[in-house]
Amino acid sequence: MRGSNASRSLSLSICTLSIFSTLILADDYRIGYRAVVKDALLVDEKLNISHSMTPCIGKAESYTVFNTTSRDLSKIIKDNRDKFYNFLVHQNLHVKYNSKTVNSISTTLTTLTFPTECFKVDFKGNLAKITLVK
Amino acid sequence: MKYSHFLSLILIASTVFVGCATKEEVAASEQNATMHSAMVHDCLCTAKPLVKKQGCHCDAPVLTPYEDIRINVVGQGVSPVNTTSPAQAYALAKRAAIADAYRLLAEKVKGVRVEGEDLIKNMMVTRSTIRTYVNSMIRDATIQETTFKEGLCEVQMQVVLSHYQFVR
Repeated sequence: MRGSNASRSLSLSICTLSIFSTLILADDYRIGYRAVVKDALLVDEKLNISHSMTPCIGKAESYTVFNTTSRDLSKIIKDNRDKFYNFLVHQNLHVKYNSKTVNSISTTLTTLTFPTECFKVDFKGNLAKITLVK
Repeated sequence: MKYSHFLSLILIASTVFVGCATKEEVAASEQNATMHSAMVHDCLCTAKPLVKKQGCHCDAPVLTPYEDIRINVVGQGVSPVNTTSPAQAYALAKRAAIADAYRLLAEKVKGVRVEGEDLIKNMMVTRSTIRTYVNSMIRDATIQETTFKEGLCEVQMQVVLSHYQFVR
């Protein structure tokens, strides 16, 4: 009887520890992106990544997983830039486009904005899971 | 004086008779109205299979619970001249192409606002200006194919419109 109680408390403590360790390892970031294209030429691109001052509250929308050993999100995104942008294009992107044609000479300006959103980043072994929370 | 009275009488009589309709005419007009309302109902194009009726535009894609609408576009972007490597040129051109593809998707889904202005001086057009604007938000677009050739990147993008996205 005593033995079963001990094993139960041990499993409970392991579960609690694992939950806490997951919470500690999960980081909250705020990521925003903006690209400006003038006459089919990329003239400005900004990817803002910062630690979130407040925890991400909401529902997990979508996620992507990177194979990495680094714990620095900026570096992870830099190394897997194409994969991250493919993940971004699935989200809500705001498009603003202006074109002006004066005497048959045309100029265009397209601004693509991903409004700053909260992302939860979980590190587990060689994997980093980035989850959009809304 | 007599003639004027006679003329006014004729005018009143003709107005009265022209204004009135026989029972057959009333019935025909009612039938026309019901046919028109039926045609308008058919023009909603909700029935499957879609049948093209005269005066309807059922060829245009209509979102139904039975099938999704897939919108495909090809965006183009060029790489800058002063790049340090072909990889950088490709990456920059691809960004530009994605933005262009998004713009095309927004144009198709939401539409374009167009403004034109012509300045005419001494009976001659001196300045012709056309401005177009697109302002929209696109969600769940996917890149289908990417090609890069001679500094030009083409990105084929697709967005799927489902009925449930609008119902929920």
